[in-house]
Amino acid sequence: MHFVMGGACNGKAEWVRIHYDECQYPRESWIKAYECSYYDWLNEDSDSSLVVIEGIEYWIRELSLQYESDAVRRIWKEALLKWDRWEKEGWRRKVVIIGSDITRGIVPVEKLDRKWRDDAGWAFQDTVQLCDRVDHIWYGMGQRIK
Amino acid sequence: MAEGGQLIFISGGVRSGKSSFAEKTAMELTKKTQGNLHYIASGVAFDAEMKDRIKRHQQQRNEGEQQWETWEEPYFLHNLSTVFQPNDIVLFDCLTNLLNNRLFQTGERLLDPSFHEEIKKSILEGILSIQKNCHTLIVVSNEILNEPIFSSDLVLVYAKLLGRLNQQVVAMAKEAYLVEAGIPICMKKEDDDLAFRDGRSM
Repeated sequence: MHFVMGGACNGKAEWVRIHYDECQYPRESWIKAYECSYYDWLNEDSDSSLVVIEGIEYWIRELSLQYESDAVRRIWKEALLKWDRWEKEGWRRKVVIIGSDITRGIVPVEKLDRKWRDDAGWAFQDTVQLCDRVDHIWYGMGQRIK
Repeated sequence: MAEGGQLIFISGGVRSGKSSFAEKTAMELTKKTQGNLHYIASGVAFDAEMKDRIKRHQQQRNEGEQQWETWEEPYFLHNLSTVFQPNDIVLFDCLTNLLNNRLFQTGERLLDPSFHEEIKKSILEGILSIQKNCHTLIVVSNEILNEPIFSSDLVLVYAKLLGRLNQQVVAMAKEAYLVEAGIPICMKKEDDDLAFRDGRSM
């Protein structure tokens, strides 16, 4: 699995586009987390070879509003492990996860926003742990950090 | 890269030392080119406190051995495209202020996508018009895209525009730096073939 992170509107999706066009995966599915629920993703049995998930911070928010932080972290990790298994089970499969860093602003006024920010920070750490490759994107410039 | 001079992009958080680094870079370059030092300020002095701050900054810049010429241009960089010489170093501080001023100049078209495109195009053209006519243009911007941005339509518009502008300036720049607590981290340097960089610069 490959995690691509960085600030919002920094050209992360475009970077993934260019990077993976060169790799030429036969079938791809591009999932936008801000357009569907986390649970849709979980149930999708993809026969694609390249799966890109864009905007995981939205799914973290969905989970964050429903569960305590420990549970959010556990559920997210289980989902990642499931996709990691899927990637390793088939030939030429790849999961690419894109996430916007939301952790550097002023402390949010709303309690739920504070919790979301914490949960996102932890989820990103867990995602980094489970991915073989991590790139940080800054205004279109990629830097491999793992 | 466009013909003419070169472009350097510098960004960082609030009080990260990005402006000091930009000023230092400009002064060192001026020594090499033997040209003049220019400072384009895009801040608008709305009140006495801001006026005072601008004045203090100006004085501080001119305390050293090198003298700065300050230009106040809150809206259109094109207005200054003919005032520089080919060996001059120009520091523009900052892109975020200019975007603010342009976006809020007219109230009624605030959420009109074609207006956003116009602003973006005009700002980029303004930058190019100065770059073409000097030795080096240094553009300073801000790191403000690392927090949740869907709080309102307007914030999202602003974030997208700034993100795009920063990306395009970085793409055109010969060098790009992220300043963290006073330490400039080089994110791009043309002819930089470090193995771990594989972005659009290739």
